[in-house]
Amino acid sequence: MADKKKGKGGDKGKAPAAKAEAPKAEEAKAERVEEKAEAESGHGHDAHGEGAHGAAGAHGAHAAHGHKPNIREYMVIFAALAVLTVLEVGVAQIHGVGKTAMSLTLIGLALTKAAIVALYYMHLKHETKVLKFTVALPMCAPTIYAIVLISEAAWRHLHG
Amino acid sequence: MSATATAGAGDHGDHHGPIEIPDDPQYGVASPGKIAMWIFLLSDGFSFGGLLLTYGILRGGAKQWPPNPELHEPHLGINFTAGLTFVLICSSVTMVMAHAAAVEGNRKRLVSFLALTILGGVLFLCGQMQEYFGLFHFIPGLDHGLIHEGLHFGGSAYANTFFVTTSFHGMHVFSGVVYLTVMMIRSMMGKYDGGNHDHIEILGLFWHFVDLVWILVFTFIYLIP
Repeated sequence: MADKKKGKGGDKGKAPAAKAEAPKAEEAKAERVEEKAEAESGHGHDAHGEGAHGAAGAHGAHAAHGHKPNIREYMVIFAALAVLTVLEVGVAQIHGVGKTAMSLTLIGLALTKAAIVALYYMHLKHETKVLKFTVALPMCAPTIYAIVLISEAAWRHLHG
Repeated sequence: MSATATAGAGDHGDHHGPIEIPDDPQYGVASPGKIAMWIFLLSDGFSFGGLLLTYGILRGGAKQWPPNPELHEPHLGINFTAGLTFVLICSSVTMVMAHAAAVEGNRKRLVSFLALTILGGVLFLCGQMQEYFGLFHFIPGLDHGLIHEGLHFGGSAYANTFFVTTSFHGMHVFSGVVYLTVMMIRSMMGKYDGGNHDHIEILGLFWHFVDLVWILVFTFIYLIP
């Protein structure tokens, strides 16, 4: 969808050769203009009244940046978050389930919730690939630390 | 395009209508402020990561949790905190609605939704005060706080990790409420009229991050058996 196009644009921009970069950036811009056309329909934004699409390259980009908020999508996400929260609290109160299985389920549910907040409410889904990686890659470090250090502590406790 | 970009940069705060961000091959049209907020949130994420790691290591290495049964420390109430989690999720929804109103250029809706978001944050803080100190124990159904029940800071690894992590998060909610209030006042002054929504989106990033972290803290500290 729209974000994929944009992702492609960001990706291509990574090419180190400046020569290759310029036309590709243009292409990305053109793609965003298309998005703008989509975003514009049924949207009474005065800044959009600014002439032909070709001339409104930056505007198209802006519409992509703003990524026209989708209220229905926000409500679906809200429902999903509410359901997942109820599910989590429900799972936590089930008796007779192994601690490990329950912990892993709860962590899975929590990470799902965190991911959909970041993707939809923080609009990460609509950012370029580079910005997505800028955010996602560093957060792998604490995750790896957590896995290694917590298992080490648990192992020591079991065998020490 | 460059002319509008310069104009936008010149009077950032008072600019009416969307501010043009030149298209960057890597970061698209994400504004410098937005990228900066993301990087700040990363560093903040590491802070929370450190606290949760400490908790995980202490808990993973303990025979039982709470680690000192002879202290008779109270267990954390799940249902009340689940309510607080829901309040924060609701305030995230009102935040995205506020941003949507800013994109539309609807000042009235923007201010109302920011006010609702502030209300959510304040309710959360009240809930946390109740949880710690039992400030509202005169309301039927609410008990005395955890401190009254014998959970003391410095008492055990259980008490310490709980208080440090949740209060660090509470501090974020508090700064979020201050940030929201400042932005609501600026919105009332018309600083974000005509679709000038970038600063509202950046505010939203911070607020959603506070919600996102709470989702993780709630699971790790309260729910995990």
